[in-house]
Amino acid sequence: MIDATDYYEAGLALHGHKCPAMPMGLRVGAAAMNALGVERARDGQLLALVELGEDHCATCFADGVQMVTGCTFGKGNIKKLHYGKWGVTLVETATGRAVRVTPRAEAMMANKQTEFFKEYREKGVPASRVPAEVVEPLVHKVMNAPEESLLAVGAIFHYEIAHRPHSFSSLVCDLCGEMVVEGYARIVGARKVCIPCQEKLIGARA
Amino acid sequence: MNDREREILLEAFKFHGHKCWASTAGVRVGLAALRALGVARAGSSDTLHCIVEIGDNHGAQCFADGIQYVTGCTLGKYNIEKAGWGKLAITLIDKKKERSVRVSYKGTHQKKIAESAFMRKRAQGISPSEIPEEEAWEMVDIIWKAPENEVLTIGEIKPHPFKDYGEIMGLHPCEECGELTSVAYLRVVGNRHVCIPCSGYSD
Repeated sequence: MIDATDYYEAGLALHGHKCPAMPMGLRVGAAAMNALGVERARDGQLLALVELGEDHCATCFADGVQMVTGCTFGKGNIKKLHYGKWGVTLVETATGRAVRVTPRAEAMMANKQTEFFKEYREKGVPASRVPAEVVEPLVHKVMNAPEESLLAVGAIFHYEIAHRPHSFSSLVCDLCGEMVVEGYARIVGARKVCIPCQEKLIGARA
Repeated sequence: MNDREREILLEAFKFHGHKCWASTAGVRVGLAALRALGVARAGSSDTLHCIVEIGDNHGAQCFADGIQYVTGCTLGKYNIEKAGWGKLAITLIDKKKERSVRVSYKGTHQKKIAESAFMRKRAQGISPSEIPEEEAWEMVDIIWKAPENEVLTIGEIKPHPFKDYGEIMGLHPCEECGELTSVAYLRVVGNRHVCIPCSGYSD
């Protein structure tokens, strides 16, 4: 069993400030892992589809998901669906077994009816500058609430993963001399160049 | 590289899930960019913004986890974005001072890395976490212990105007599925306000 608490300190170190959304990501991620019976992804063993968009509050949620599931921006096994929602579909890549877990609307609405949101976040104060005594009770609540009151775990289903092999070939751009992945190299006359250098040479990109 | 920096490298590997050369390169690039701008790791989303030049579905994207861990520009804080160029470089922007630096990784030692025991096993399709620890360190240290000018190109500090729109704070339950949705992402279907998947619209 994955316990979200074991990942809290590391999640905080990654994320950089205390807020209730990162811990919610830990809880949702842990619940999805337990539903599938899987370990944290050291490589690409898991894929996380998060429904967040950009520039809205509580996207911090994604850092909790990254930390607990090991689905990271760098490994490329976490993708945003841009729905502006907090559902997470976690897929075991070897089998395609998948589960969708979402925080309950009531639990997130309750977080919003607090001093943390009303007096600080909605007035534009970044989470890192909210006093600890204001944010800590929220973090504690999210980390310790019984799972059934906090989130909903869907049924296991099959998710078809389109397997695209990773390219390991790279070359040096003939113009700037920097390394570029082969598939991203562009041809200009006799030269193999990177995309920004193609733009410089021909004023367009393809 | 000093002991504290070595600790950061270890923490970054723990976050990332395995040791590899690309995440090592990311840690070095990120540390150099912070130092060049004279800024601290981002603890909130209003201080730094990072443009990382990697694309999708290629090797060495792991670079971006080194960058996330060191700079604090994370997917969750949405202060990191991909340029999609398949390159191992970043532009780190100090949003307060509106200036930036571009740091790129130099492939001076790529041949040595490609010939390491670790990379030969990777080429055979063995996952990084299944390769022995000492073979991983041998490869990591090719980059970690190299003099900075052999592995990094640090650009000049340049003015970088940055328009920050801030966050959209409102949330509302979707009137179809009842799940909480950011107001900016609610769509209108007749007289109802619903989330994108319930709306039938593609975005």
